[in-house]
Amino acid sequence: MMRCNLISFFGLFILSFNAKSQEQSNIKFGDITAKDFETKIYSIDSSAQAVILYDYGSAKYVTNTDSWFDISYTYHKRVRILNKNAFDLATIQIPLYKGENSEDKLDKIEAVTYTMENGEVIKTKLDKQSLFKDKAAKYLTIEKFTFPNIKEGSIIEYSYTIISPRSYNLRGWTFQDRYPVLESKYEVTIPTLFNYIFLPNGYYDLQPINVKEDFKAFIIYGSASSSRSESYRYNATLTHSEWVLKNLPAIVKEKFVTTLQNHISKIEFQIKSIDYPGEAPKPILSTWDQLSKDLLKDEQFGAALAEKNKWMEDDLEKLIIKDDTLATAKNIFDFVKNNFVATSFDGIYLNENLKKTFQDKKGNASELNLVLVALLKKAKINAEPLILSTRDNGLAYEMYPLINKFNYVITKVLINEKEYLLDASKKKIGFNHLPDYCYNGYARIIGEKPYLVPLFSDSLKEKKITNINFYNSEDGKNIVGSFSSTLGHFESFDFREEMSNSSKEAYFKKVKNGFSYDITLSNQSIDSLDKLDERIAIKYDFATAFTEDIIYFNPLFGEAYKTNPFTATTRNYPVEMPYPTNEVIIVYMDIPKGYKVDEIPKSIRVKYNEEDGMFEYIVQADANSIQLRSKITLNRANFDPEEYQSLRDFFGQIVKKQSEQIVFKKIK
Amino acid sequence: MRKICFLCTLFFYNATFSQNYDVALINDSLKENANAVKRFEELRVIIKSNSKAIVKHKYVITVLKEAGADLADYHNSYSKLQSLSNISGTLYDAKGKEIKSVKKKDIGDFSAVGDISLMSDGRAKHHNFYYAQYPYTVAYEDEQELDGIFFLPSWNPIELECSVEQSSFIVETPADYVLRFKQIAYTNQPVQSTEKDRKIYNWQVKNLLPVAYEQYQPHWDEINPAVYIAPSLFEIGDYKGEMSSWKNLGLFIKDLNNGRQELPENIKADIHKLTDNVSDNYEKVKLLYAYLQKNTRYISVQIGIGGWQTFDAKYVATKKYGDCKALSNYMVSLLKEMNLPAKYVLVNSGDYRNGLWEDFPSPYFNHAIMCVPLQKDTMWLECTSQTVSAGYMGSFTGNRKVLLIDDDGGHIVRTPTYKAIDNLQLRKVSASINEEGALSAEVDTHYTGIQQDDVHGLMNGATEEEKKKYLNSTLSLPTYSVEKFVYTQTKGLIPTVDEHLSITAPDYATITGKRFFITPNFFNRSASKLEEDKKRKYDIQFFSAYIDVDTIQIKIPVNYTVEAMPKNISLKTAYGNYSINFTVKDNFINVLRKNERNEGRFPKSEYQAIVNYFDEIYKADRGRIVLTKN
Repeated sequence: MMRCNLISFFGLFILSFNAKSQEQSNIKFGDITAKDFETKIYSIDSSAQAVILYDYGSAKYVTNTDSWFDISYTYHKRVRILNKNAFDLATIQIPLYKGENSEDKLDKIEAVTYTMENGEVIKTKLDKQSLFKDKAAKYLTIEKFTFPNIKEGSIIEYSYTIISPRSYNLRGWTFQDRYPVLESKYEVTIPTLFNYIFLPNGYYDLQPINVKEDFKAFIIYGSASSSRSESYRYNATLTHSEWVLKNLPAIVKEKFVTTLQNHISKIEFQIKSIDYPGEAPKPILSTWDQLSKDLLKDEQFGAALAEKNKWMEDDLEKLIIKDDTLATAKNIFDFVKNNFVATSFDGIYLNENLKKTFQDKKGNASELNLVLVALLKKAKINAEPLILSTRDNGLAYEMYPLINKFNYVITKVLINEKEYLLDASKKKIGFNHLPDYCYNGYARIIGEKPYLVPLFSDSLKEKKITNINFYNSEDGKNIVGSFSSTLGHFESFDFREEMSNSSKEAYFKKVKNGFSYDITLSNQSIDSLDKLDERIAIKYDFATAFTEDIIYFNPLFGEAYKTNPFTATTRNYPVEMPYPTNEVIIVYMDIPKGYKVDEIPKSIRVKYNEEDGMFEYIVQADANSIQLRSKITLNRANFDPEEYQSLRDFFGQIVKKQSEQIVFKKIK
Repeated sequence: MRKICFLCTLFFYNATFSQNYDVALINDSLKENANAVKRFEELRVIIKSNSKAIVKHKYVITVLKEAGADLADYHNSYSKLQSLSNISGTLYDAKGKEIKSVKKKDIGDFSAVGDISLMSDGRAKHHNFYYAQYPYTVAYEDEQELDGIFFLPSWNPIELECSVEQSSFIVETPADYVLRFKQIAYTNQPVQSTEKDRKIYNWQVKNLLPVAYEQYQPHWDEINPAVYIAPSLFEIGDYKGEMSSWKNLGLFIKDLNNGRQELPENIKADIHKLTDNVSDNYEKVKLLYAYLQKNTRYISVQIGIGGWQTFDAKYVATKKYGDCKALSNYMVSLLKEMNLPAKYVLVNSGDYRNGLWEDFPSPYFNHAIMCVPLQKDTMWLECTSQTVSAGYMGSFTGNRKVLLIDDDGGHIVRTPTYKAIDNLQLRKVSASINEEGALSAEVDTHYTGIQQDDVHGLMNGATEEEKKKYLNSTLSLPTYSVEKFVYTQTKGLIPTVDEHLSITAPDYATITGKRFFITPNFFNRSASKLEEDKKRKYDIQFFSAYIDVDTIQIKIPVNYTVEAMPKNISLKTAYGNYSINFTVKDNFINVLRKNERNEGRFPKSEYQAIVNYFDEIYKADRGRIVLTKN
């Protein structure tokens, strides 16, 4: 699933659309005439409720009073609002970073609403009294306003500048939106001092156009050799790059998409080095080897792993089982999970030092896993942290050491040559299991050898087996039987999470309510609810009675697919399911006493894409019993949009077959 | 139940905060079916004057298991008129041993503006010990200062699935202060005492067993003990008022919004042009309401007294937006300009909510609307929607008592009630099934009143693409597609929406060998059964009445004979009437289904009968016809 990123990287555009344009529209603020209102329906999307007419951004390096650089951003956007349902576009929120010593400065806000009244364009300006500042979080302030005089058909236009002190963080640009965009343009002007990597994403060609060079002198401090402490004149070469995309369709969320961020057309920037003229580049973006070393020394990541951590000793002592490394590792893992609470899942860095996390018994997901690594190491077990990007966070680049793309830390241990992957932040996860959202491509070891660990959803094995048995009761009056379903590991995890806020009684009440005929349940049990390494098994016995002359009976209970999971008739993006499918239902049934089989479903076997999947429904009957096996396998979790229709049809066949009935007739 | 619950101590209980919180001390009966136990709570409201009050809240909660962990979460809000300070807290282990206490830097501070408002001065503080060793106990304490009194806090000691060892509500007032209060599900009088120049009221509950949510239970605030208090004389900002009568509370609101109804000349000109030639007042109101809907939108800004005081009509006239108060006030202004008797109205909104207790005047309200009493009936207008019909309130504001603000003060009136006959869903399905079991169907549905609310939202709020996506995911058909959909609405006091759908479902009928299985009622099946409950605690309440009628005709392939038919049933009960009738004749399946639900409250002793009623409908709705090939 590295597809879209890598493709655009190497310029192998299988799915590339050409929206790039050399044509430059020269759009000036306020330049709106009656002609701009003539279009009532835009050909790009006839049912659009709003259209982004023009979306412009620019980034330029400027010197500041500290003789260093700020980045000056200018934004300008024009939107046509066609329908009241898009009125929310008239409310603008501008997030601003407010650090302790430096902050983003917002300036030159202009906002005008244009409406057509009696053939004339009426301009209504934003009243500056109506600008609000909301201190949303410690380092985040949101400036907000809403446009006055909004009607269906209005055009809104606004522009502002931000001076940002974060000179190593050149902001990226997202070209697509949840509304169609007629023109989106971004330009950046970077002194060659700042060496950036461009990271395009999505299905459009994002090679910059109009790349040109310019020269400018700045007065700045500092250098790579750091011998120079006075300010000096820096004659910079400026690189100017531009992207213009036109006629971009709206991007809309579909079922089974990990995150639209993997598909949306955008460009991001990563600083690689500071290249002082005449000096060797001062690397910022390092190599994986270097990054790994740095992270292991970083107070906010692995520094504590190299220390003695005596404060762990008392607790650790009780967890060590002599001469059994694996059992010790399991003990330590359980200790962290049972005693620590994950308070947030906010990235790979520590908010507190490890000792404090250890004492407080709480921390973010990264802190908990690093506590686990530290404990394991102290117990002389080979353990290392692994960083990854979760599915909802989008794909990380496997080749570039772009630390910002990673948002999650797990733990790897090596015992007797065998590798185990652990996550201490999720209470309901067993040893050597990970939550499904971790399976998002390559994870990276942070250790002496920072190698890649493949975590691909396509390679997962998830298997669910259900057994249902029906017998004639001894007196021949009732049908009695047993149901048992063993869930896959991921489904077991979800089930445990759900049960933490529910009870066994409530669960079986729901099960009973799911039957449309009278049935009594007994011996209900849920196995392995607390044995996290095991799969959940749901079991119960049941009793029911057949009385009618003809019985139509579906023996699959609630296990059959009743509706097609692929509801939409069309598809734009790949289908990204969390794991491949393997579901087996095995039914044994005594032919009910006093009845004979009148009709029975036929066996079928359907292949999906030859080897990619199969559905089989095999029925055998003899004079006394019926045996039925339904098996669904999909060997992949990811499918191309072109495969959608066949996938939908495949599930259509499953739904159809699984709804078939066995017909019994009373023997007269 | 109640007898056990309300063992109120009649002597004055001198509560102390530092007790022994060993979990072993909790009575077993309080632990049963509970996720947490409220060990102690004291809510103390100290009214200093007509404009100043201090609210001190202390509570101790033992969390027994993970499902109760939310109750260990501390959060409270503050704003310009209501500060929040002195937050402290302590964590105890199962034995009651202190583990740690709240540090200031661990208290989170957040904006509480939310998604609905553009801006408000609401903020919130939050803390959590994030402890994982169950059971454990948290104790929290905070203090709020009210700068201006309008609203006073209420005491609601019950939380879901949490028993209460003891909780008390203490109100201190100056000796001459006229405190008013209303008790719900609390039978005793408060213990009253006097200390120097202070009057003290004390309410208390002890040893309450946990309550669990029950399907179709009455409103929470009618069934659980609570005490509401309200001032008589009060001051907020530069305003003074009195609220021991609705008349006076209305006068205060009138005073607050006085002089805020002046319209700019251009707007006056607009509306005169629009309606001067119209003689019928009803038509005038409709035209002006359409004018409002076309020219304004909802944007909420709530700061300080602005939570109650409206922005003036000029603000809306220039910006073309406002919150419920500003838009309602603006609409009143428009109508008054045309000499129509428009009134500003405050309402406690929310689906099927109670409006207010008429015997206890207090500012219950969270929303503003307006009305125009006309000769025949009163036109009610919701001013924050751009699509709703003039005169229609729906389940959000309909069927409840509201406060109408007139020149002589406040009056309690009722918004329109929507009866079963107003809330219809009449559906006609004309379908055919071919030999392969594929269904194609034309479905025409006429929705009215509250039953059109959702579909009104869909047709007015979604793009064609979104409608298609929604329609293709919402029907309970195995695999299907909605080929065509058309919506038309008719405005009116009871608005209607007509929906036409063309549907194909390739595998609708199940075929096994020579048999054909058809569940003909494929469009309107009761969604759920009620859970059996031997120990039902609360009465059963159905909040809205409605009628569904489904007429289904399905053409089936020739040369098939009926082997099995579902039972026709007809049920007549106090909760509703239901009947379904299946016939097969001349290659047509015909189904007539009628489901009429009554609103009302039914004693808990009837719960099992209602479960059975739901069960029978559930089964009948899924009735299956079996055909065999000749």
